[in-house]
Amino acid sequence: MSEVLFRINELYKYFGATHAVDGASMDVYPGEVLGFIGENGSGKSTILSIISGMLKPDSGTFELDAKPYTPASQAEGIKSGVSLIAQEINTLEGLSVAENIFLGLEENFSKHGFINLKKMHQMALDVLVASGITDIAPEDDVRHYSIEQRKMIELVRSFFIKPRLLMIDETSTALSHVGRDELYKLINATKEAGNSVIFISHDLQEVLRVCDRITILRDGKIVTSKMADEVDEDQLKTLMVGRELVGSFYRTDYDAKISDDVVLQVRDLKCKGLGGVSFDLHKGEILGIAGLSDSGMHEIGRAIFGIEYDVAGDVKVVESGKSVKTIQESIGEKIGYISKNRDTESLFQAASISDNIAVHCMDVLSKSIFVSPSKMKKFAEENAKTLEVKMREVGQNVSELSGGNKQKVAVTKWIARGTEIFVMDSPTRGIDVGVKAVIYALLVQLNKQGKSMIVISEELLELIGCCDRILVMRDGRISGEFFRNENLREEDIVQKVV
Amino acid sequence: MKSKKLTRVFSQLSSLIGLILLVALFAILTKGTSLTMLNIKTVIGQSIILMISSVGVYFIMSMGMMNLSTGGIICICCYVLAKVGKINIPLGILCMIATGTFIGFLTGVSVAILKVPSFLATLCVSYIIDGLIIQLIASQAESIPFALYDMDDFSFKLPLLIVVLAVCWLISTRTKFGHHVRMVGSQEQAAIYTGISVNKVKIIAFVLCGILCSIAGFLTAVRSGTASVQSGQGMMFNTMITLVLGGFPVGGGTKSNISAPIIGSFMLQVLTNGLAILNVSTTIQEAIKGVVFLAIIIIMTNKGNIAGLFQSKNSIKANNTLATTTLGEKQ
Repeated sequence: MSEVLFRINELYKYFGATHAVDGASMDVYPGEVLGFIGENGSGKSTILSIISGMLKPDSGTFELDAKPYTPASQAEGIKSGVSLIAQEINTLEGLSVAENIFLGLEENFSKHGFINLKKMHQMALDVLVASGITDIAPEDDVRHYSIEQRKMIELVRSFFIKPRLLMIDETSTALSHVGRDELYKLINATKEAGNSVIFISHDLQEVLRVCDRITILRDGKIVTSKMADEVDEDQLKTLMVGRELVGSFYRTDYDAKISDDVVLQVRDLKCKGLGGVSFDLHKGEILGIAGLSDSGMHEIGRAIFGIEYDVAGDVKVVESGKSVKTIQESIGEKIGYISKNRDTESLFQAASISDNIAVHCMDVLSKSIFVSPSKMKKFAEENAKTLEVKMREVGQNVSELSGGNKQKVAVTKWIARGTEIFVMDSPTRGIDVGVKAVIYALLVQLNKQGKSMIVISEELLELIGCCDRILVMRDGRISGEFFRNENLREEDIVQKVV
Repeated sequence: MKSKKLTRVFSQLSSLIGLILLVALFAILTKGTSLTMLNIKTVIGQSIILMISSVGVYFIMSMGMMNLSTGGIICICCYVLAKVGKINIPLGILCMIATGTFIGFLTGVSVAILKVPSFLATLCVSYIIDGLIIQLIASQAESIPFALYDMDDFSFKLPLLIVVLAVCWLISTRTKFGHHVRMVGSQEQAAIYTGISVNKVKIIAFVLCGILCSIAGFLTAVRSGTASVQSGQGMMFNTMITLVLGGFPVGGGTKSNISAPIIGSFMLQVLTNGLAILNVSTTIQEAIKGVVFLAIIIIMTNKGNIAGLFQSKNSIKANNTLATTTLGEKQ
C-alpha cells in the first residue's frame, strides 16, 4: 500500500460562483477499488470528469505512477491509461458497435489509412463473447440497442482498453442484474491486474459491497476516507450529509386508510409495450408501480399523460367525468407528469428557474394573452420557496443546479399550478440519500395535502417505503398488487416482477 | 461578485457597444461625412425595412429555426400591391398583407404539422415565389400606383416603425406566446411535456413573420416605386446577419432578445452605408458582409475560446469523437 498509483494535488474547479471542487487532494493505491460518495453537487462527477480529461481544472495537478499527468482531452487520458464510464450514454449513434468499442483505437486495425473492418468486427465479436454478451452484433448501429446494452458496449470497451485507472460514474442504475454482474467482473479484473478503480454510486450498499476504501465528499471537499469494512451504511450517510440523519428514511405510518373516493380511472389502457391495464387511483393515495424497465411501467405514465401514440382505452378523471387523451387535456384536468429524463423532458436546461416555473403556469398567471414579467418573477420566487430550492436567485439557469435541486424545480412547476394528480416516473433516479429523503418527505407532504400520486420506480425498497399500494408490472400487464404493510419485503414483489 | 455583474452587463450591451464603435470607425474613415444629418437620415431610412423583416425572422430564429423566404415574401407582396393596387389601393394593401399571412401560414403548417425542416420549407417557398414572379413579371417591372409614392416619407415611415416595434416588443416580452417561442427554441421536448401547443406556436410565429415581411414589402414597394424581380433581393441573408450582429444566440432559445434585430439592422446599415461612402463597390460589400457574418458566428459558437481551436489536431478530433450524448430515450 506504500506506492501510489494516482495522486490528486490541491484540485480546484469553480463554475461561476459554485465551488464544484474546492481543494481536493487524495491518493489512489494500486489494486484498490475506491468508492466516491457524497450528496448531489458534492463534486464527485466533476473530479472524475477532470481526471478523464473532459474538463480542465482551475488549478491542481495529477500524478499517474509518479509521473505528472495532464490530459488535454479524453482521448489523451485513455492513451495514458485513464478511462471513464460516465453517467451519460457515451456511445455514438450512427457508428457501429465495433466502431464504438474501438473509438480512438482505430490504428490497431488500419494500414496506410484504411481500416480493416473485417478484422475490427472479428475483434469486437471476440471481446463481446469473452464478456459473455451474445445479443449484440458488432456491425449493427448502436442506435438499435437499449440504454443498458449501450452501457454494456462501454463496459466491453473498458475491458479492451485495460486502463491503469478505471473510473465508473453512477453506471449501475442503468443496468439490470446481469449487467451489474458484468460491471463487477470488470472491476475485479481491473483490480486483479494491479490497476485501480474509482467507483461512484448512490447505492451505499453497493458501494460497501464493491469497494475496498470509501472517500466521502461534501461541498467539493474531501471529508474523510474509510476502509469499507470499518463503516456501515448509517455512518456513511451521516458523513455525507454532515449531520445525524434522524428518524427513518421512509414513511413510518402503516395504518393510513386509503380513501374510497376514486380520482382517476384507468381502463384497459393499451399502447406499444402496454397490453391492457386497468386500475383506480384513490384520493390521497400514493400508488407505486413496480417492474423491470421494459415491463411497460414507464409507458403507463406516458400513456396516462397523453405522450404515447396510438393509445387505446380510457383514462377518466372522476371529478369532472372527462376522459383525457392529449397532454393539454391532462394538464387541464390537473394531472402532472414528471419524466424520468429530467434533463431533456421535464426541464428547460438553458432557461432560468423563473422561466421554468412561470412558463409552466402561464394560464394560472393570466387569463388573457398578456403576462407581466415582474409577476412571473414574483410567482417563481414564491413557489421556489415551497420546496426550498437551493439557488442564488430565480434568474439562475437550471443547468447549474444539482440533480436533486433540479427535481425540486420540476415538482415545483406542477405544484405551482395546482396539480392534483401527480404521475412521477423514477423521481429519485440519480439522486442521492440526503435529497432522496427530501423527495420522500415531499411525497408525504403532497399526500397530506390530499394530492394523489402514481410513483413509477425500479427501486422496490423505495416503493415499499413510500407507497400505500403497489402494482407490479410484467410484460405490459399488471401481475400483482400489494398493500402497504410492515411485513412486505422486496422478495415478495420480485417474484411477481420476473 | 461585482465584477461578475459588470461582465454580464457588458455582454448584454456588447452589440450596442459594437454599434457605437462601428459608427465611430466610419466617422473617422469618412472624415465625418457619415455623421451628417442627411446621411444619418439615410441610414435610418434604409434600416426601417430591414428592421421590420428581421423582427419577423427574430421570432422564427428564437424557436431555433430558419427563415430563408423573407426576400421571396417581400417580392410577391410588392407584386400583389402593384397589381391589385391598380384597381383599388386599400384593397391592394389588404391583399398584400393577406398574401404575407397566407404564405406564413402555409410555411408554418409544413414546418409544424408536416414536419419539414424549417430551412428546407422556407427555401422551397422562396424558390416557388421566385419562379412565379419571374413567370408573372417577366423582365418588365410592374409600377405601383402613384398615390403610394407619398408614403415614402419619414413622417409616415417612422411612426409606422415605432408602432410595429412596440407591438413586437410587447408580443415578445409581455405575452404568453412570446415566452413560448423562446421555450420551444430552448428545448422542444420539454416544451411539449409542459403542455405548450408547440405546433400552434410554430404556426403563429410563421404567420407573424409573414405579416411583418408583407409590411416590409409595402415599404420596399413605395420606396422603389416598382415591383420587380429585384424587390426584396438579398433580404434573406441580410435579416440573418442583422440578428447575428445584434447579438442573437445562433440556436435561439431563452437568451433571445428583441433588441438584436433593432441594433443589428442599424449596424448592418452603418456598415453598408460607410462602405458606400468609402466608394467600396457593392459586389465587394457583399463579400465583406459574408466575412463579417462568418467571423461573428465563429466567435459566438466558440464563446471566445478561439485559442482552443488551434490546439493540436489530435485533441480536437478527440473532443469531437467523444462528445457526450445525454441520457435520453432513443428508442
